[in-house]
Amino acid sequence: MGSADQGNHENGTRPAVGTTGVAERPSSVAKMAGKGLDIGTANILAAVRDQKGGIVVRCERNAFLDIQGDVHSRSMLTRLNVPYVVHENSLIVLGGSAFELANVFGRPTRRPMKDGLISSLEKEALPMMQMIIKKVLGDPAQPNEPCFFSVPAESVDKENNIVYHQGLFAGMLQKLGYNATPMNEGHAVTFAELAAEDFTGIGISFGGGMVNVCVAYKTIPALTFSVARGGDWIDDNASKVLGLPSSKVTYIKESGMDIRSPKGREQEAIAIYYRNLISYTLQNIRNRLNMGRDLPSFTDPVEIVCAGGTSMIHGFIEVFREEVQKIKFPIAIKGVRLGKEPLNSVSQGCLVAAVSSME
Amino acid sequence: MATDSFSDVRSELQSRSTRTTIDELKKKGLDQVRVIRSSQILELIEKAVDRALARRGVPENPAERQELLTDSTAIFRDMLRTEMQQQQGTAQRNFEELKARLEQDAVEMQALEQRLSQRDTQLSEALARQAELDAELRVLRQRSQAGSPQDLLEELRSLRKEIARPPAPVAIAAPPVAPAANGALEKSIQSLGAELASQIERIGRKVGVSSAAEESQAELSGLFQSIPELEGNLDAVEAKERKASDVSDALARMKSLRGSKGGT
Repeated sequence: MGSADQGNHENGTRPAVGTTGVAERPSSVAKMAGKGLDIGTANILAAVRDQKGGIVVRCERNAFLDIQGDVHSRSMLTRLNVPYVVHENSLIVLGGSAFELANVFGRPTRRPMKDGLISSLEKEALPMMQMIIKKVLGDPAQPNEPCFFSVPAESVDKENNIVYHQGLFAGMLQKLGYNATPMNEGHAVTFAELAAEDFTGIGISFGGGMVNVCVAYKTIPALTFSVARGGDWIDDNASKVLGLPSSKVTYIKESGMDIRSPKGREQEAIAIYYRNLISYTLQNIRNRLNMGRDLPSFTDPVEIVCAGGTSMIHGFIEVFREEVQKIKFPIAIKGVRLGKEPLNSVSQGCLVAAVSSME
Repeated sequence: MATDSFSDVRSELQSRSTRTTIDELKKKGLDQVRVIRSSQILELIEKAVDRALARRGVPENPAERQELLTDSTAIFRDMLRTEMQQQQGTAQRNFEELKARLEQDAVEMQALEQRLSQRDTQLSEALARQAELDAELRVLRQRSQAGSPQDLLEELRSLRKEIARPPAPVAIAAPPVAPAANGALEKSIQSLGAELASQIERIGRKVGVSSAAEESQAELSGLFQSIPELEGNLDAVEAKERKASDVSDALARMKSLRGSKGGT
């Protein structure tokens, strides 16, 4: 853990060669610092630069599961590379392994976050999230290393307390030794995906708990807001109609199905809720844009980029385009595309912001 | 005599026909009806006259028979014409009443549209004022502590009062509006007003100014001091990592944008 960052230290005096093939100055040690952190309802991702200037993303599911265990179980979990902590005489398995075990045992995972924000229902949410974040982020490469972390925008369809959530994670990262700066999730998408358009356009992050939207003009966020529905909303609703545990629906959803051609009852239900989520989101975007007097006057049609784990299902962008055709947008749209690596976009955007803040 | 004969004719017709409306026929599921021709009616009259004469023992003198037949037919036609005129009169009256009602509804609709348009204008102005206030508050917030939250609170209150103020009387004389429709419109405007007030309060809460006490910036890092170090294997377990796409283009573009901004 943190090997890439340690590598930065060790190789700091050696000129690093970036992916563009241009040798960087010896002072590149400072440029290698800077991290991007995506604190999502479903996944936590950290984007860091390695010693060669390449990007490495560490990802962990934002979930945990308490299991009964003894000394033998602990050594077995370590051998299987399953992360755990001991808490109040229980073994708590963290991250993706918790999700896998939950499916094996037919139990729901415990989730530290709900609807894009820290959950008040999970009393162990804070220590568990701190563990997961520490695991993916590693130690700071230098004291007070800049770390931009994602935060959701206020929802148009639900009252939520972003200030508390933002302050909480800023405090957590400060304790871990970082200089933490919050960054809107949709804004991070525009940083990662809209460089060719001079960071002008609409970035949409389809996450587990929320959909975050940012209308940006030349890096400046003109309008940010969120819709309090996401991948979890699809899972919860499909699980209710199918009579299956929510984690089972998540598993089916992530097993390579295509929402344009669902096979069987389970996939049909998932596809229906997916289309509903996309349509609901687009209607909210249109309504919000119609209201926005602070919306910039774009001279040219703008690009829409979708990112986030929920957008990774096959057929997503095609269905999204179909639904866009049905909506009369108040601004001209040039095109709709999926991010290069939708799951990584937010963390990469945060990384771009962190590195840029150091220059 | 002629009257008796006609009476026979009418009873003959009545025994062979029933009166009904098209709607009733449709309700019974009938899409088609059988129609009797006037020549058949006349034939029936003729037959009825012959039968009536035979029953009364009147000799079948062709001239008398023809005279009686002509007389009966004329009476029948007169009665038929009277009946049709009555029906046409009723239909015409119904049509005139309906037309008058529609004209009245159109006038009321026009008045409602006019009022709705005025309310829409007021609402748009209120929304515009709210958006302006939103932008101003954001600027004030960026100016950090320099501005007084009390001033902002006063501004919010005055805006709310302005929105709540009843609209000025309109110069155009609007025709009377149905009381029920007027009530619904007022209710809808009140609801919109309440929603606006709620949104203004929400904006106020966002920037820390509202009827509630000012919210201070919470220092939450202390929360994590109390979290104990948990025993586990996190140091021994490798975090899963994968190569991701390069962001050097984005960084270069960002740098060039900043450079061009700095130069202007």
